[in-house]
Amino acid sequence: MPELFKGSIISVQSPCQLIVRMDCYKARLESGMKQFLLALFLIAVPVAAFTGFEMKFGSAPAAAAGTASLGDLSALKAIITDVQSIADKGDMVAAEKRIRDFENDWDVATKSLRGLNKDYWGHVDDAADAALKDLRASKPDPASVKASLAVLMDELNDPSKAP
Amino acid sequence: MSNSVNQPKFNRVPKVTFDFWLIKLMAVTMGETAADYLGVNLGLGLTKTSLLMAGVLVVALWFQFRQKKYVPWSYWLAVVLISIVGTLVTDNLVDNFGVPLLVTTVVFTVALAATFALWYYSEKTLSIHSIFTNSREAYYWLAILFTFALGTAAGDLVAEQFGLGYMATGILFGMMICSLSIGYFFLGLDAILGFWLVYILTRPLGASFGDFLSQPYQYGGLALGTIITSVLFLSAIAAIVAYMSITHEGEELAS
Repeated sequence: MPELFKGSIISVQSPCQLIVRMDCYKARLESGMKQFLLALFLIAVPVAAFTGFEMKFGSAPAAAAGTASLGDLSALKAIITDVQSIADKGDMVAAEKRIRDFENDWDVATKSLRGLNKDYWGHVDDAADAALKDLRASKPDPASVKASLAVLMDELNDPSKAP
Repeated sequence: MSNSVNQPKFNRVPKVTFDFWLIKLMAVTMGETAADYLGVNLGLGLTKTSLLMAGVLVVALWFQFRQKKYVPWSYWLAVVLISIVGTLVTDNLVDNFGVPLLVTTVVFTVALAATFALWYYSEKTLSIHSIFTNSREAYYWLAILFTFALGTAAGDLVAEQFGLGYMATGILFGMMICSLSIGYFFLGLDAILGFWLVYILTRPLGASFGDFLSQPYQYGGLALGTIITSVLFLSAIAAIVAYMSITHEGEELAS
């Protein structure tokens, strides 16, 4: 008996509940949209302020155009000059040891250099990989070591061209 | 254990306090520098390092799921590892597989939205105060993973694409976080929506901070290096976690 009684109450109430539920969904959707727009506004305001400031005072445009240089690479070049003179004497083991200093400094600076210009960084990185590979061959070939070090030096002098 | 039903249910994840954000920010800073260190110095290459750290993360999450309540060390260990793995995965996709940052940003946004949609569909709530079942906890960690991946991709996109550098990137994301905080405290921004948005944005903020500390002087950094920066932040995290364990800060019953 109680079950039947309960059932009848539900059947009487359900249309009403349905309308209430529709209102409820509508209200929820409206508040959801409001929240979404509020969040969008809260993010857009600082982005707009920041962009305005950067455009007026910042250095972003040059970098965005893709011509920003990698800055001063003389310390890296000095190491490669060293490596070249050691390799010219034919001591490939010592040359490989010295280029590790370059490898380390290059890795440490990667994040900054890539931020400055991703393409230029990639050019030098490819040339560096080739030179490391030649020096680390089981029997380094002096001619190819000399050639790949020269390419790497060229890249460090002008990172804008692809190796 | 049938009587476990009648026992009070603990929320398995912490309350969001000032310390929560402090430690979260340090975890992402450390995640960024530690990922850089492991990627470069472990000598395993990015793919193997990613897989190795993902394996460690799985073990940490297994511990976390076994706790059945908020235990600071296991929770924050999982967060730190997610931070490292999230960074490695994004770096790997970009560097080794040549996926553009714009694509990873969009893909992770869609993945995060899908996670929230499924979470809401199956649990009827996105509350972070009622994580007391394995399925809810799984949704929670999946969402955390995608916020880290999305934060990494979006932060790198802004820094690289627009050539901003880490200082400017940090300031930009810091401003967004301030704005959302004002929205939450004064303009009625929904707590859960605000929480997840700030959770995403603290990732690039912390990463910029980590790069600023670790990168050489020459490029505007403080030249602490990735090891010292990582160790410094890991120690600070450990100290706060120890403090939280003693004071039981952040624990709550599931509502």
